Amino acid sequence: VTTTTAPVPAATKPAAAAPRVPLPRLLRATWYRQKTALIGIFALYLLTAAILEYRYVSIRSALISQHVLYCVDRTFCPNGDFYEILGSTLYMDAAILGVALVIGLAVIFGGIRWLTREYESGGFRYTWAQAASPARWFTANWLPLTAVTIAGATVTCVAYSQWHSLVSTVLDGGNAYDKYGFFTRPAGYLSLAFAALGLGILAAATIRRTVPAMAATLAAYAALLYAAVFKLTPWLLSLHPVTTRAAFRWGQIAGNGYLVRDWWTDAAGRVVPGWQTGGGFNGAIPSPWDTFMAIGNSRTLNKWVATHHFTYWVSYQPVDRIGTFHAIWAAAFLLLGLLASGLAIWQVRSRRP
Amino acid sequence: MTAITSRRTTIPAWRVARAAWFRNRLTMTGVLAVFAAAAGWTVYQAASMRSWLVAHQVLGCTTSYSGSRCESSTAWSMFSGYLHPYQVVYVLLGVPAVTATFGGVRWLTREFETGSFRYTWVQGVSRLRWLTGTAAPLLAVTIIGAVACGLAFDRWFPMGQWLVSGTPDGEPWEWNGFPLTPVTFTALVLAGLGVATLAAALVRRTVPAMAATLAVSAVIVYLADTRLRLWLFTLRPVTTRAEYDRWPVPGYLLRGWLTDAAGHVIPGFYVTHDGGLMLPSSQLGTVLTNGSIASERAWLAAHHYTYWMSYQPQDRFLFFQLVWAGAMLVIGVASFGIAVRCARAFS
Repeated sequence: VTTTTAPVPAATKPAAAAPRVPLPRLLRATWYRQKTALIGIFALYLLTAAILEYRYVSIRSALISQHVLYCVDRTFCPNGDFYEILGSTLYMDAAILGVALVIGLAVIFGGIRWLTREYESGGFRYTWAQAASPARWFTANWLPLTAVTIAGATVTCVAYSQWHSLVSTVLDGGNAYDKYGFFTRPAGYLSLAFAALGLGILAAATIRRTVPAMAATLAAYAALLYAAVFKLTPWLLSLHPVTTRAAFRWGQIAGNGYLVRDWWTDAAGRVVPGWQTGGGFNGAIPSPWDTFMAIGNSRTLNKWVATHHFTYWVSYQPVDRIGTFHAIWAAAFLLLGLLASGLAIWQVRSRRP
Repeated sequence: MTAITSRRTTIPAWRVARAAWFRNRLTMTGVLAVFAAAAGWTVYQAASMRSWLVAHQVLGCTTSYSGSRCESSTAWSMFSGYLHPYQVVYVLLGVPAVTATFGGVRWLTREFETGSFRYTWVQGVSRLRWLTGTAAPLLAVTIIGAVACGLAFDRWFPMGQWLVSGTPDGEPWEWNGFPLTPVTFTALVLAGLGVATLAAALVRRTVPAMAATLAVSAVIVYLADTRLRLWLFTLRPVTTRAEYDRWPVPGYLLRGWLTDAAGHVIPGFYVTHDGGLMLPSSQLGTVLTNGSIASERAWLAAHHYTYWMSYQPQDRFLFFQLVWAGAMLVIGVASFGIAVRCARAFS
């Protein structure tokens, strides 16, 4: 009986290391594949900037022709033509909404599909098989997209700043802490665009299907914008305010700052109940404040207050802190964008199909 | 001898609709969820406003503008400062474009992209029946959702009008309310769906068709709200003499002007539809800027000036709503018809 043994394989050669595809080549391939999306994103931002620039030029020429350009830096203009030319605050709010929406549209229609299309068509396999690691492939796609988004957002932001310099008197009374100031300032706007792009890419990497990822990004961006304007901003501005006694003046906030809270105390130091921040009483006006509410002149008001031994307290954010708040706000969204992009890379690397 | 070919069997519409439900149920559920979220948000905001007004004992000010009592109330004057009414208006105005883009495009482009429509067509279902059978459940869901949103807005409006309208008078004449009643909102949503179907049939690729739908829907919403509505209001207005600075009846004021004793219109003076006043730089302008209403009226009468106004009475509101909604429906039906033609021409 002869026994046969299995053939012993020859000594295996160490596999040659796959050649690394250089990043410039990957970037070049990305450009060829994503040029429509990249051009589209930039065009969208450019269009928004062009509209704002057109409005800026037309408003400015009208103000010059009516000799009311000097009113731009004033809180009140004696010439009614000034307000007539600027138009209603409603259109200004709509312009601000448009500036915010353009970020969402650019991400939804340009920032998601480059990734979901790869997953849906399986095209990424060809790239990965050619020794471009998932992380390098992802980075090569992400970099141009981010660069174009930042460039487009910068152009829009510059145009917005010009337009805002003309309308700020009407829009927010020239107050530095205007209600949309955080996301429309350069740092805030760029970081918001970066965060939105990060969320879009994360949705694409997680969901891997175009339309559901677009819908998820839309919902996430709407929630982000809402939270940024109506939750994060008021919360930030409530941190460590300056609290001081002050002379009372209707509608005036100390030093063009942001009023966090104001209240009255009586001679015994007790807080007068019912006073609402910004002025006025909640519900029925307690005696003797009905007299106070009827006085219009600030000097008479403060005489009345002194006579009745009331003290006015105000808690506010000084105007010189606004740069810090803007920086914190922008840093929060930059962090969010980095976190979302990092998670997206992790998704791509860990969930190989 | 030739064989007699049997007639192709016609698949009943309900079976096509049932198949459409199984294929597009995620889209329909999503569309319904968007409407439910928008309606829920609107009702929540209405309830918030109502409870705020009740807590501050000024709810009565919303039903009848009881002059001095409400005007002198600090709580009433602070009403606008504590709420964000445009959150509701912008959300609702965005819903037609969003539902058209995300709900109205993909059910058709997916058929074209995957080629699965061929399986349906070879089974004796005509293009028209296939398209209608697929669209009908989506339309039904959309109409239900749109009506729910419109009803939610109707609940919000009695309080919200004091925050968003220059001259609140019980009916949403302005841009921020007119397209949001149950009739107009449903028509607007259907027009959006029609446009989405047409874009899908023409472009046949999901993302470009969605982008086209979003752009066209936004343009339609803008033009319908700012151009068509205002143009409709200029048709056959009532023109009457009136006491200066008095709103004679509830309705939509188009403009007001003054004539002198000879009946000539005074240049430089006019009252805009939202009550804005433009004054000439003559003595007339000075008098009307500085005096009380009574003294202004007395001065105008002494100088034989007559105040005229042209307006649309309140009882025409429903008529305008129906005409506007009809125009939107025409856009929707025409778009859908062209989409059917495109599908039939496609082999």
